[in-house]
Amino acid sequence: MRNLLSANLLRLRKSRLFWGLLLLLFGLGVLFTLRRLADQVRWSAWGAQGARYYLTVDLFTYALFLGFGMAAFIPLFFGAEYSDGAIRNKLIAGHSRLSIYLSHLITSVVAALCAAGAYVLPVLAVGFFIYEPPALEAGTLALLVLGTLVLLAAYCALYTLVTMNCSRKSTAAVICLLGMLALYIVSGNVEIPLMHPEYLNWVVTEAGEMIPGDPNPRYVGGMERVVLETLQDLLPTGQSLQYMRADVAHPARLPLYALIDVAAFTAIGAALFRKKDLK
Amino acid sequence: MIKLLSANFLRLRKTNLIWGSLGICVGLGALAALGEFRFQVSVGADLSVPEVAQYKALLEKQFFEYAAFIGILAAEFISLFLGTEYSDATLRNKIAVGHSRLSIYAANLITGFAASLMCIAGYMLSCLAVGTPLLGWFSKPAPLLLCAIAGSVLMLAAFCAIFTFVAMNCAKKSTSVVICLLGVFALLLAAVYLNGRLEAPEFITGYELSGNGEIVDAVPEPNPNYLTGAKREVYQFLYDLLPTGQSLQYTMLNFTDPARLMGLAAAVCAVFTAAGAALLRRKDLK
Repeated sequence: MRNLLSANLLRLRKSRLFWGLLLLLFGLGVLFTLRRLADQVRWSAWGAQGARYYLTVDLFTYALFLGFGMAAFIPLFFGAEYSDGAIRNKLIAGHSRLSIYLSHLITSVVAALCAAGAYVLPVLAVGFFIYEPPALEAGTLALLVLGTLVLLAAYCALYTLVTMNCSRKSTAAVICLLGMLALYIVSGNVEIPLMHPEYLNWVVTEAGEMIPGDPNPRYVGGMERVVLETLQDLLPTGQSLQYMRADVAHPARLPLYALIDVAAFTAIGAALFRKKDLK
Repeated sequence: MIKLLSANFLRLRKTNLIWGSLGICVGLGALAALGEFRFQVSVGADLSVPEVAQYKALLEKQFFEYAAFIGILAAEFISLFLGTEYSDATLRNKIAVGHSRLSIYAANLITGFAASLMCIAGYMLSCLAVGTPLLGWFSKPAPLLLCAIAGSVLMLAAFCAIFTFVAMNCAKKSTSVVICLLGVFALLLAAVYLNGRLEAPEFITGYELSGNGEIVDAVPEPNPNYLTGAKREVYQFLYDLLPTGQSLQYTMLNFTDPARLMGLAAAVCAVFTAAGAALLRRKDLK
């Protein structure tokens, strides 16, 4: 396993694709920070209120970018193992299929973490002068950071499942990229009914109290709400949407669900890979 | 050229890729019409209320949805279909039997365009078949609808020219798939951003407390996000030039100058085809 990992990491270090991914994420980090700077200059006439952005506005956007970035990177990088026959060579050298699978997953998680670092670096460095500190408790912020990192692992586990069980590199890339888009559409549609408020308006009583007014007929409650919320928290794309807005209803639950994703995708992927005919 | 085209169409007919893409389009067309109908039912049928009337289900709201996703489908389809020419060495065989590189390029472009046209025809027919009984016929004038159909077909030609350019000049099928798909996602994001900037209102009206404690509209103030002068022209030009920008405009049936859009789509198609064919002529096919 250690040999496999060190071989994979060496290939990663020498891969132009990997360095291209890092450069892309770094560029996006710079672009987003500069865009906020331009916004601040434009809104400066409106005083401090119009020019305040919390760091969390842009900090977790890598959860979206890397969803797409890893969907392209993993099939291209590990798909080459099939096309170049490297998987068969590893098996002939005595490595088990499970250790090959796990070494690929760990390598892809390392690549994703490096790419996330490349995005965060300019956001923190340049953004230090631009953004307001996050208006969150330190514990919640730490949970959000942890959650996005586990989320990246969930994406990697999903794409590794596809790539390791699809011997055509181009087909794996299409499945990962279009699958990612399809999951985003599902999460976007799950989110819409959850956004409707419970009441259409609030009424001020004579005593000055705010009481709920007319109930909103489009509000989804009860069991249906629980199911939709669970689905949204369980899908990696649903988690991405929540982290991007830094508006997470259950910050402690998301990392746990992402871990369940990692475990489930890895178990399915490794089981399928064990039975796969590698020709 | 005719032989190349007939060979391509034969391959097209036998590939699962085209039938799968066509199936997706037909399914989406029917689902779009059904979704529009269901949405109106969920909102309520009392269309005399102005707030509800805006949700009135209309066939044209869904009929042009294909413009939003056909670029993604064409990216996947063209890069996979044409990428096989490289991986199976069909390209060299075609050259070996005497076909020119230009005619191979043109035949592949036409084939990709024809397949994508078939997909949007599938979407339109299923949307009409399901939508007309549920939602009635179109309410917008025929010239506008015809303009949108003709414009979206030219937009599709521009998409196909771009993807053929990539697929014919990239020997690795998987790389061209990723470039085309990520490229179209990036262009879609760019179009959404441009649309957001162009749609920003000129004035912003906030709220303030009046002397007797009531909340009233404040005096409108200029919006710093509103684009003016040359900057607005540039943003509008880019929005009209990008095939993804055009796709948003046709999807929402919100365009002011269809002749300009069609001209720009034709220009994109011509530029990418000329550049792609020129690059292929010099490419080392090994």
